[in-house]
Amino acid sequence: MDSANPDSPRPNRPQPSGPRSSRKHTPKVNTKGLYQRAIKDAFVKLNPRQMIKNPVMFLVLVGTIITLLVTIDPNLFGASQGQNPRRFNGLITVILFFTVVFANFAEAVAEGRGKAQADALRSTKSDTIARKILPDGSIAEVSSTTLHQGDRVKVIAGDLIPADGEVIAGVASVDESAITGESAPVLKETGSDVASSVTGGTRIISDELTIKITSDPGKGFIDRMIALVEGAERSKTPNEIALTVLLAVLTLVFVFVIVTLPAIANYANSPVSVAVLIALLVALIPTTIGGLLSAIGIAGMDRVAQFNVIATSGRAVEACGDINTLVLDKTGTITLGNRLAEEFIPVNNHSMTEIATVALAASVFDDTPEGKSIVRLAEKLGANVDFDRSKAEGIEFSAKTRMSGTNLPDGREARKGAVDAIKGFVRSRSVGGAHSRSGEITPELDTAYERVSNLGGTPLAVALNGNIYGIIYLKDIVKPGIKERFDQLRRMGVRTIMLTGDNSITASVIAGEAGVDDFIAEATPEDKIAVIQREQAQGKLVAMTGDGTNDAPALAQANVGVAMNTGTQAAKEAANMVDLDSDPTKLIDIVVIGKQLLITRGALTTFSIANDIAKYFAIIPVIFTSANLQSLNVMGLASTNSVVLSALIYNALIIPALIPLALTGVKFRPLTANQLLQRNILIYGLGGVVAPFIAIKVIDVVITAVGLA
Amino acid sequence: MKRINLLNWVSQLKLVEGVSFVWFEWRRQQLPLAIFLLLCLNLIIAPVVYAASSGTLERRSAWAIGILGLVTLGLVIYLFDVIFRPERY
Repeated sequence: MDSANPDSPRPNRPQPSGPRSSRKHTPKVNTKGLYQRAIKDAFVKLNPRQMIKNPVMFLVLVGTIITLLVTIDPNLFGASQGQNPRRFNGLITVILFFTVVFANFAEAVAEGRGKAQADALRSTKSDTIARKILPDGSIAEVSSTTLHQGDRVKVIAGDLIPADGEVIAGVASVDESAITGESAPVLKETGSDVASSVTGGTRIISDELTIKITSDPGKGFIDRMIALVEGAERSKTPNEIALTVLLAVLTLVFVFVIVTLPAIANYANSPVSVAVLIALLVALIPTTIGGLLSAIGIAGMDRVAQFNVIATSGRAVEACGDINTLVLDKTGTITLGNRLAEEFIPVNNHSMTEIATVALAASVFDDTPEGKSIVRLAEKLGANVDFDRSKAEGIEFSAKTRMSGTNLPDGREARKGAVDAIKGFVRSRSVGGAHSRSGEITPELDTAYERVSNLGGTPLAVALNGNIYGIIYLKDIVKPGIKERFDQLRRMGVRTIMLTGDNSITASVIAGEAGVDDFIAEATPEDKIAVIQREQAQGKLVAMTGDGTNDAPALAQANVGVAMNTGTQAAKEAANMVDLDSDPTKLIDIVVIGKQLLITRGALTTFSIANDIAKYFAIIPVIFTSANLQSLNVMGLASTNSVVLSALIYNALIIPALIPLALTGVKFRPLTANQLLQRNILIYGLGGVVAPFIAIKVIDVVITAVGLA
Repeated sequence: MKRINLLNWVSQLKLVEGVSFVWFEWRRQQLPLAIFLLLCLNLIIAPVVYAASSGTLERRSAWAIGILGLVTLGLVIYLFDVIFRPERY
């Protein structure tokens, strides 16, 4: 939010150190015993009430029961054919049963990982004793679980913050490592846009705060994330619902095919038993994606949580994959947040020492990285503070004045800020002012301003009363590798728009250097919402980050709004994701996770349907040998029984074989939609057709050799 | 031998309450109701299957095929429900 202003001081925001990969799983997730629990859960999930939620696997379960009946009595539906039908039917029953169990196992593993993640998140929440401030001002010690929205609590050094809230009084350092993994304490104070909200479970390590609770018990950010990653109350996302309908339609079509098949088979003089019909049905319906669908979704939520991002709904994570436009702040997202003073450019015949001295005077109370870098550069050039600091008054930056500075003890006013703002300041002081001097706003000033802007830097003018001393060149450094990331996004069809409060020359230079598709210079926070609405009007999905109260409407308007954890409660409430690391660049990572989720789902759906086609052409010629389809048995499969068993064994084994892919996701490649489609059709489509033929042939040879069929 | 007044015995059982209890439980637990309806429907279907088989099927198999047909019909209805009301699943 502050980046909308050219010299906005972004408060020191400690970023988690080290590469992001090393910060994954913070807090640490305990996956011990995950697979043992998943095996147990796979059997618990055989409960028909749970199975009915997955139409494909429910059908397999019903088929298993029917084949179990024909195993007990092979003549149940008429005289049985072939030798030892009981053993054949029994084998089909066992394979079908394990197909269902494997599918349940995939879901249980994903849920288990989510539950482990939830347990880790839950460990940050503990029932603590809170000092609740009663209406009469007295303090009562209550359990943190009894706190409600609007309650006020007092926390002192050493206390755990009992619930999410907004600081209403005090200044204190807070250790947020429990949720962010970052050990450096964060300063929290009232009235600040970026440091006034606190999260339950974090610990205050110095001083004391008065906090107004902003969430009811069980409805905080961590609670919502726990519910999401646990998957217990997980509702299907729109894409999952669409895919469920597709799978149900395919299943229905194949049910009709199988129901009508006995009549054709009898006409072709190749009667087919009920067990074979059920085996054929299971081989044809998309069991692979049916068994892995929920695992893919749960794993997607898990990946977001691993990136220290709290998503309030699965819909938001999925929407990331469909994002067309990214609206990004310049400062902190595209450029390194801490702009540093690179050079002083004196104007109006002032010397370098003079401008350094005035710049130092204007910055002694400025604690922002920019202010400190100005002080360092001025001192390097030999400038000294020639007044009593205790008698001077620091003037803080504000979005309205767009400048900051110092009122010196002798009544003089040293200021630094946006060039336009300083020009205005000088004019106001020149009107009949004793310090006014003609010729301050000279073409020389504009030349220096343009020179700095053309370098992509932020020009700050420096003035003492009615006299402009020159320009400070604040160097803005584009983050390394950001251009390549924007190139990747462009190839994926994602458009990037940079918003900055800088002038249009600086903005265009940075935009060119970073490789963004579009930029809006001298932007106000209101411009963000206008940009989002304009893009949405064109049917695009927009993602943005923000941290201030004035970002809240835009965060709510965006399809994916990512609020920084250091941001205000209003921003966090409006957004559908909260980044615990408060790293604006992570928006790009979140988009990649969303796309990976959709690509994984698409790839496995393609593979599953391609598998079904292959199995169909492997089984049908062998079943209908009497109808002279033997010539289509190109693989020379041994018999009806062997091909049915081979197809079912492959069908069952491919589910656990694909669990790792479902959980980790298909490797993300920054390609266009067409390139991705071609690649996926080649790998998962063609691969999905070829793999079953090879696998079925191998299994057929083995089971024939061991005499199973 | 103790004489039992049948009318009193029935009234003691609170027949109406009993029927309403069964009806209430059927509404809560639909599986027994579904099985009961399935068997009732099969009273019509199984003889038709048996007649159509011209004696090639045993009576027992005709009943099983009838039930299998009804289960298949139930699955088709279920799949249509998934298609039209997917958010429920």
